[in-house]
Amino acid sequence: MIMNESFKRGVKAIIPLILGLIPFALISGITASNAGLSLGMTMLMSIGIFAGASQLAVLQLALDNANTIVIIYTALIINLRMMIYSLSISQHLRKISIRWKAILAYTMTDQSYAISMVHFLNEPNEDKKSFIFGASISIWTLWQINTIIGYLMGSIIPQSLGLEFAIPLTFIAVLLKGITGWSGIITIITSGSVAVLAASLPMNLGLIIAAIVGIAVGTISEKLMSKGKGNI
Amino acid sequence: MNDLQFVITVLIIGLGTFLFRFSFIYLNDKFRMPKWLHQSLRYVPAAVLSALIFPAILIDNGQMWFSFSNPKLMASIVAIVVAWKTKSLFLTIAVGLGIYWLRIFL
Repeated sequence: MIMNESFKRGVKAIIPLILGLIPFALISGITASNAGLSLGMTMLMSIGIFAGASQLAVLQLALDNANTIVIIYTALIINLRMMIYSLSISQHLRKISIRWKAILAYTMTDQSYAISMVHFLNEPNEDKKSFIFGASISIWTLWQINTIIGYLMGSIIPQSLGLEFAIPLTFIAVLLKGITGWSGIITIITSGSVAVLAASLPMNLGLIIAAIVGIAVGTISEKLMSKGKGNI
Repeated sequence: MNDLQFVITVLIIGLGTFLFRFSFIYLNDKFRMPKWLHQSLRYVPAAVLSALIFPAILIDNGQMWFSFSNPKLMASIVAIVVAWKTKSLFLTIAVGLGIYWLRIFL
């Protein structure tokens, strides 16, 4: 039942974004192997956390012999944005079983969240549960496979290729697909600028602050512009 | 850090991250969202994606690098034009990476 046309559309929509994510999964595996983790521990982390940026932070801090509390705190701050995604995507996930809510929550990533939100803008009548599951389970599966490949290949892939640049490129493409009006452009410029200016803040706090400021300015600008229209 | 400590650390982070992801998806049938919140949520994807994109392009080794000699900036500008004109994810990534490699390897 779940593997219907909507599921297939979700899989199809996420494929280009997975291509951008594969280098990241490989790097994650390579870093774990360089950090001296066993393959079992690497996969425990990859399946147990399933959030790439925080996994890399855990490895880095573990290598630096950081305190366990610091490692936990840092990883959770990096993943705090998932709570904003949860709030945002929850409007599309009403009246589904708690088991499905848990599955869709656990497999949610930057990529599957963003592509689903953009898709639902144009296709409000989509079977949303199936679409998100199609996108998320594809990412989950390929993330795990490529983490193992990265782990086993170790340092064969040269870091100088700069393949991690594929990730912001995929985000650019998704962003421009879903852009809506001037308020959207104002949101992008505000949030992006704040993120750059606040980049030196510890533990990715800049990301959270930038997102909140961007959302607020976008919402307020929409209010002001619609008020302006009313006056004319 | 020994194996047991590592396992416990990973499990705590995994549980916390799951609860972040699960939080509002779980709660949504129990609470009615206020209108202002519902409206502002439309800006979440644009805001979060921009906050991920801009530093990835403009910050290099902890320093802001806002110049045409920054290969990522050049490649991103071309990628934006390609994304805008074609709406194709494949083309955007391919052209963006292509320009980036031309700039760093030639």
